[in-house]
Amino acid sequence: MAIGIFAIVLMGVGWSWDYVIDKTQEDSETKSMEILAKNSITILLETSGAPSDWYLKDEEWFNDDEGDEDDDDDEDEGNGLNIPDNLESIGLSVSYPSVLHKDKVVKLDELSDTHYVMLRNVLGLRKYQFHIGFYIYDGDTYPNTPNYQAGNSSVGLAERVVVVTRYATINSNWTRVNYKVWK
Amino acid sequence: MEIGKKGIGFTLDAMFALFITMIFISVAVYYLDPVSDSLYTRMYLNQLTQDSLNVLEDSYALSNAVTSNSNITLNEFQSELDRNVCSTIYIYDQATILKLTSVRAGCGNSNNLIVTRRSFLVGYKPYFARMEAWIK
Repeated sequence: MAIGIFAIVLMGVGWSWDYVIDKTQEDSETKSMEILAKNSITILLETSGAPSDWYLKDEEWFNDDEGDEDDDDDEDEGNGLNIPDNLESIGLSVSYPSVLHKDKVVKLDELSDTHYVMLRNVLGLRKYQFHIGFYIYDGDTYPNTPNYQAGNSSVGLAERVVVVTRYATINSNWTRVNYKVWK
Repeated sequence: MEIGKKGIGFTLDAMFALFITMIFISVAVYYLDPVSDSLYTRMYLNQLTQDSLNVLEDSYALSNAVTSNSNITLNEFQSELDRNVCSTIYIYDQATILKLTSVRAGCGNSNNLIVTRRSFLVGYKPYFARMEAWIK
């Protein structure tokens, strides 16, 4: 009898331990996704990118991740992340935080169709998916569908989603930016 | 008293150990969880107020509010923020005299608020805006 009770108590403790460990790992991953999402949206909205004229580059420039032809360094055989050699970061601001350049937003939209993996990597998300929507205030409310968007919109099947909402301006119009990072 | 019957013994030291363990776990859960949540909430409100004042300045809503002496646009902006957020915007002139106040409708007061300040120009005159935000 005593052994039976002891076994039940032991199983209960084991189950509780598993539950706490799972919950802690889930919380920890969610927190790191939140930090990743906040950092990447901050870079997007508060910097103009490096180089800042990245939105003027052509398709060929974005495909160039094979290293410099004149560079004799054998190790420079592309970064393996599909990131162009001369692209350090992507930023949408004009020169002032949260004041967005409309052409950059449009280019981000275009790039996400052709270079989604590159965007994900340059934003530092790697194994996570993302979707960003720009909702421009119409004088009465923010619309339900985004005026501009980029990324993977099939977030409905996601196991875990982190949403960051920020505010910015496009052509001095109030813009709500919804940024989702998910896996 | 019958002798030879089986029973279960609960010793005092085992009960005491169980009691101490439960208290330890409860205290850990109580203190660790809310601290991190509270930190994230404050970071969120800080970001929100900074963004709001950036947006209001760039869209000329702050300067227009001063020149028209009207808080309508500021009220409109605040009414479109997240539902769980309360906020108030104050505009002061260079002599720190309060010129305008905009309060989000349906909000009371709170002592646990985040404050952000930003200066801006109307013509050549400096003003500054102060935004307070808290969770409903």
